[in-house]
Amino acid sequence: MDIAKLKDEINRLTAASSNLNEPDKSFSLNKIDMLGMQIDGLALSELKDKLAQISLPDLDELKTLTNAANDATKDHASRVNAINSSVNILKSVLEIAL
Amino acid sequence: MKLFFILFISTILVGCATPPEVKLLSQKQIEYFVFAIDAVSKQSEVLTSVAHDIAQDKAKSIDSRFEKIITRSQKMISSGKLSEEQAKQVADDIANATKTAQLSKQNLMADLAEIERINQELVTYISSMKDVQIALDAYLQSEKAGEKILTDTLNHKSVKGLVDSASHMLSSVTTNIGLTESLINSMQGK
Repeated sequence: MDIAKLKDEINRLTAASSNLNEPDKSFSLNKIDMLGMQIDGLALSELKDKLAQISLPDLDELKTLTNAANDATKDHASRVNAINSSVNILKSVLEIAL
Repeated sequence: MKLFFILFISTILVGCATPPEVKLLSQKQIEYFVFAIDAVSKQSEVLTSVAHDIAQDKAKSIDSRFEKIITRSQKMISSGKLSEEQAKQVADDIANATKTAQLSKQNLMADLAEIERINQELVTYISSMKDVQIALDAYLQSEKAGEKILTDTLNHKSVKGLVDSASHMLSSVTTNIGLTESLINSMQGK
């Protein structure tokens, strides 16, 4: 039973119990308190359900891609250094040639 | 051959250069993520704290209701006015109340744990997004090395001279192509 229906049932029993004699009144109040316990137990359910709707990407995949990009950048930096070295050689050759 | 090689490399490097505004934005984005992580962490902390308070409050409420049921039931039994059926009803009420109290508290704690887990996941996600930006930024900033090659290469007096010569040669070639076309057309009677 959802919270709304539980509350409706509590209201119905509360209204009815005022006209009852013992022990029926006590039985009715017991039932109200049991329904009340169920409602208390559901106090965080709505918040939990709303948060559960948040859909996030797979963090493992994200970390794998990030690590791969970092590795690729390091490789790129190595190639750039290699190009720098080649260009320095080229410049030297040009100076000699010209 | 050397000239064309230099011009080819220069063209590629010019094409690869990232605007400085983009690089600056990339760096700033890392700072923005630091703020976002802080904001999400604080929000998650508050949400978790409030959820804890609610859980504690409702757990007390469950205990209170359970105590009322027990007290009421004991009073009914003590009255000595119950029929056999009613006495059985009292026993059932106590058993149901015990089970309901236990399940309700379990539900409360399970929901609280899930709320904490989701909040933590959100904080972890934002932190991971910052790592993504750092990785992207590292590559963007590393193009500075490429720019250095370009600047160094183009500013070398010999290369600069060669580039100027190439520009001059290009205009001559274009003119010559035009003359050649005219010659071919006149030979074909056009």
